[in-house]
Amino acid sequence: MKKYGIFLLIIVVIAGILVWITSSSDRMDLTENIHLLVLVLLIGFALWFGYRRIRSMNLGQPVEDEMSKRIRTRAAATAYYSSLYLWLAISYFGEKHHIAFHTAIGLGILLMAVVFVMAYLFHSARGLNDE
Amino acid sequence: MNNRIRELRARMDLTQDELARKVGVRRETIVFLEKGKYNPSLKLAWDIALVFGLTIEEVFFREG
Repeated sequence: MKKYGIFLLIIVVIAGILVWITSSSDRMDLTENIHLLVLVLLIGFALWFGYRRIRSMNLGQPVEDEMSKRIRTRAAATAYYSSLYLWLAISYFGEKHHIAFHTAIGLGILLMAVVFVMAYLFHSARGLNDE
Repeated sequence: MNNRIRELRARMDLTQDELARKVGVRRETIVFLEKGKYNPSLKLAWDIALVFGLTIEEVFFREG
């Protein structure tokens, strides 16, 4: 169960997206298309993450170790710090361009996830040798 | 911080996967250690040194 938990989560997210697409209006506007694109990117990241975990497990190695935990912690810290400025920008442009409240919240949550993924990839590539 | 993991691993004819299994980490951690992109915890440094039958100072050292 633990091994395939992430794939179950991905299936639930994909099912949610399909329900959203089929229940929304016939033609999706630009904002909805951007949301969909971001969701697809996040699902791609989750699939890659899940694949890595299963590969480690099959090799008899832990799915998480001290380095992966430290990378995740640092990515979370970077994402949190960046998100403060992200919400500030959303608040400013939301006011200026009269973006609906629920759209701004949805966009902010999605972008926070994107910032986390980017921070995770950045720290994974750069390593942690400055501690 | 630098280390002699790659050299010692080759001398013992160990793959990165095998060393990772012996010290209980993922292969990526060994790759990062060999490239000098990760500073291990004291416990991991101790475990790696133990696999090679050496002290921590003989495996890990500061550059310059």
